[in-house]
Amino acid sequence: MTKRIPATVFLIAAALLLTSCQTIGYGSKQHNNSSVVEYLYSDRKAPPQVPSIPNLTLPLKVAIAFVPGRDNSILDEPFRMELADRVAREFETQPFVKEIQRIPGSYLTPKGGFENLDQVRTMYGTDVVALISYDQVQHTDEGMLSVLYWTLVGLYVVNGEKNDTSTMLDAAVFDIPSRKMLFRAPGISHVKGEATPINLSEKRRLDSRKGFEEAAGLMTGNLKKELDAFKEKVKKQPEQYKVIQSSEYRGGGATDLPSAFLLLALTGFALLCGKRGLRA
Amino acid sequence: MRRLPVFTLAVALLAALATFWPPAFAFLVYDRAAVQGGQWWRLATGHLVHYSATHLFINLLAFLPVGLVALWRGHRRFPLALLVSALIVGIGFYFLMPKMAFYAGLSGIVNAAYGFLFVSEIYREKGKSWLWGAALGILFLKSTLEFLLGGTFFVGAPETDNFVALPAAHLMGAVVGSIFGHWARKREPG
Repeated sequence: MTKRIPATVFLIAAALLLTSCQTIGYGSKQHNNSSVVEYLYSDRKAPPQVPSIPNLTLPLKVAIAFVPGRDNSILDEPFRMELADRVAREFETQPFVKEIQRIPGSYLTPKGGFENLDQVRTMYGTDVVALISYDQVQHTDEGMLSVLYWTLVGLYVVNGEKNDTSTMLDAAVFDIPSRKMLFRAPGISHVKGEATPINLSEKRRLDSRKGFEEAAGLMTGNLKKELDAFKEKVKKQPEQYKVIQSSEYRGGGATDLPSAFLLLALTGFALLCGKRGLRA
Repeated sequence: MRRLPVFTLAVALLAALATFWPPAFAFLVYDRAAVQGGQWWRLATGHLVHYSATHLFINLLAFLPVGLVALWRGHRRFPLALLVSALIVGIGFYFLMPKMAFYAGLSGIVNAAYGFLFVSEIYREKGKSWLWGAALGILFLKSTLEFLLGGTFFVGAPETDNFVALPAAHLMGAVVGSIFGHWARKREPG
């Protein structure tokens, strides 16, 4: 009987070790991205697209779209629309923007190029598009505390996994007819987190989302600066950007001739019928 | 002998100068971005400048008579009414019409001038106040219809001027001018 106790302890210890060894000793990396260059210029057989001078008719109609990525599940459609709304809010404050269209992800095909954007332009009637691309890398390493995974309790309780999430969101604004990039605004975030092996997947997902949210905040801040800089650039380099101000962009206080005569007639009639004419 | 209506003539002269002298136009036109940058005077001075000679001519055709009549009839607060109206209508543009980048034209102030005159005369000519009341009613009917229909009641702005006539400016002007006329009359003796 006494000989059986050490054997039982040994078996339990061995079982715990075997359970833990799967999670010890490995670092991992996840990489998700979508690339504007790959989307627009992936067809190497096609002749190179040479940008021409853009004709910007103010106020602008702007489309916002996410560049298709290799794994689109990292950014689901509702989250994309939420991020697109943030970008849209920056454009909406600009008096030279008339309308903003959020383009669903399914309307952009991978490696679609400007031909795909021409289709979007036809569908939505927008000449300018803000293409949002992303690049996110998640590293997971084990810290010193991961030695405590050798116990079952440690696996559930000790935050020995170190997550490192780097995210870049980039909004590149193109004039579709001229194929010219007008400006771009990036947003870069870095999220550090810790997790236990048991909730690692969930923590990664949360860090990923947090990374996108932080990057989106920085990107929209940069977008505001870039929009202001672009306005100055257009003024300083009129040979590079042809700006046409449509009538809607300029309001005017205009009296039409019949209205002018109506007002005169009203005043004249009241004066003539009144007691004192022009006297005070 | 009637006094020279200096204020009215000065406004007309300034409007002509601001329209035909490009540096003055650039300095005075309502430019939303410049207002955001601190050039707040443009809220009021945007009414003085015009996009073309035709634009200026028709607005002055409507403005000069009401300006002359108001001063000859002794409405001493008429200049103040126009200045306040210009500023309030400009502020209205800024907050209510964020998409409008530029504005030029006197017509909002023309409507403010008529509103002010008609209301002031309602108080002054008590026996014939219905005449001025009817004139005020027609002014508001026209401005409101323009606003609701989204264009000037009779014809639009000349195509060559490349701008959209804003009925909201007329309605805002008429409202502000009328309110100021009511306020001013309560503070004048007799």
